[in-house]
Order: sequence, then structure tokens, then C-alpha cells
Amino acid sequence: MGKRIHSQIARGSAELAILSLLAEQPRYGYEIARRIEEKTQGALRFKLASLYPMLYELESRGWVKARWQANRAGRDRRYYCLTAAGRRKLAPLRREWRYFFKALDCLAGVAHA
Amino acid sequence: MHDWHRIVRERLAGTNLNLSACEYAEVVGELAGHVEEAYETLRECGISVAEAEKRVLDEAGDWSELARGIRHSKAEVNNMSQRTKTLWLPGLFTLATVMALLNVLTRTGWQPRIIWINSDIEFALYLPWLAVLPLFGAMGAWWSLRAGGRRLESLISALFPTAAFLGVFCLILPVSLIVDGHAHVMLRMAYWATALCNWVILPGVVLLLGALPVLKLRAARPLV
Repeated sequence: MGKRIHSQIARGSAELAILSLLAEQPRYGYEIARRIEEKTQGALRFKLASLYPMLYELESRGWVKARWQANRAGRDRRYYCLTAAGRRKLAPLRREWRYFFKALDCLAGVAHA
Repeated sequence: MHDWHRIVRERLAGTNLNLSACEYAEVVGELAGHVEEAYETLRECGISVAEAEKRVLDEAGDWSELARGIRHSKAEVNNMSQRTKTLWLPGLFTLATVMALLNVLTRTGWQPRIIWINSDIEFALYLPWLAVLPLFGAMGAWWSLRAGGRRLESLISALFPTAAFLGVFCLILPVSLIVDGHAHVMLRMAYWATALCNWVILPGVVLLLGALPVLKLRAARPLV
């Protein structure tokens, strides 16, 4: 049970993190991992084994779309961008997480800890 | 100079990614690009070649877990698009052509042949339509098989119009009860039996007659 909740939270937070980043602009895998690590000051880190299966899954759900394109250094990278379906998914996902943290704060005073 | 494509391929070897050659190359290319960029970032920070290589490959995590995750995610993509190709497209094609033909026949004045069983019950046989249906059943089954569908998917594609007719009949009853003052007629079992026979069973049998030879001709694949 504990493990299931933990894995669901991890999965949900990964979805939110990736979709939020892609809402800003299209990015490729390594860039997504770096930006998440930087923005969360190292609190969230993606390894290959967690990042790419998640990206492919988001792609299969139609929330992101990928295309090969050369980056600034001239190397071919697979850029992911948010689709309309992904954008529609992001808003309720953000609300759910806001509600979740609010509930947790009411319960445990997380914000003031 | 590292050949990251080769290194990634070696790490993934034996993990049974179960991807097409094109998808495999794409995944390897993407992962190699990731590892390469991670390596260069470490090198720019002054980390030695050997240490940087070790770190990026260690930080990549468990490669068999990665392969399992990719296989799972890609299988979802493949199943989804594959089902569209082998079931929905041929099924909708069969439905559209069958309905279009019926529309053309009724617009050009073809009347169904009515066989009265008693004062309430009639069989309406669109004979020219029924005569052509085996061709559409065969085409639906053939399309599905050609797209890599299994026999069950091909069978459903061929019989798709009858499933749609059945769905419509299931909707007609509650709608009629609300809007039609004579809906009590529809509640009679005999009415339903003849309607089902006219629009579901008979066309279904005829479509099946067209689909069966195609299913037999193609090399047998597992039913499910």
C-alpha cells in the first residue's frame, strides 16, 4: 500500500513536472532532465530509466508530440512539445496537486514546517 | 572519442526491447544523445574522461529497468496504433461502404422485397444490397489482415456494420418510448426478431460469407 502510494505520487509528480516544462517551450530529453533538476535545486532528478519511459508514455497518450530537430550545437535531438490534449490535461493536474498540497498542509502544517 | 550509439546498443543488448528496427534506432539515437550531453557537461566541469564515462553510465540507472519501461510504453503506442490499423479503420470502412451502398440503392429507387409473415411482421429484403455485401465483408477482412490483424480482428472488421446496426437498435427502443406514441409496437418480441433478422443477422451472415474465404486464404494466425 505504502509503496503503491509512493509510486503513484512519484509518477504523478513526474507527469506534472514534464508537462509543465513543455508548456513553456519544446525541449529534448536531456534538457528536460536538466531543467527539472535545476528548477527543483536537485530535489527532483530523472534518470534515463525513469525519464524516457515516461516521455514515451506521455507520447502514447497523445499529451506530447516528438520530432527530430537539430539543437543549437547542430546535433539531432528529439524535441517534445505539448499537444492540445496535453495542455488540457495540465490544468486539472495542476489543480489536483495544489489541492493535494493544501490538504497536506491542513493536516501536517507542511508549509510552516 | 566515444561512440555513444555503440555503447548504448551494448547496454541494451539482451534486454529484449521488442521494437522494430526503425524504433530501436530512434531509441538508441535519443539515449545516446542524452548520455553524450551528460558526459560533455561533466567534462566541462573538469572531470576526467574515465570518471565522466563511469558517472554517466552509472547515473543512467538500471538498463534492464530502462528497457522494461520503454518496452511497456512503446507497446502501448504500438497496440493503440495497431488496433486502429487492424480493427477500427477496416471496420469503419466496411460500415461506411455498406451504408453508402444502401443509401445509393434507396435513392435510385430500389425498393426492398417485402415478405409478410402476418399483418404485423415483415421481412424487408434489400436483395441487391445483400448480394454485394459479401464483397464488402471480404474487403474489410482483407484490409484488417493486410494491416497485420489477427483473425478475430479481421472477423470483427468484416462484421462491423452489423454491430453498428445492433447498437442502433438498442438505442431505438428507449428513444421510441420517449418520442413515439406507437412505441408499444416496438416492444413486441416479433417486431424485434424480424428487425434483428433484417438488419443484423441476415447482413451479418452475408458479410461473414464474404469474409470467410479471405480468412481461410491468409495464413492462419492465433485467434486472439
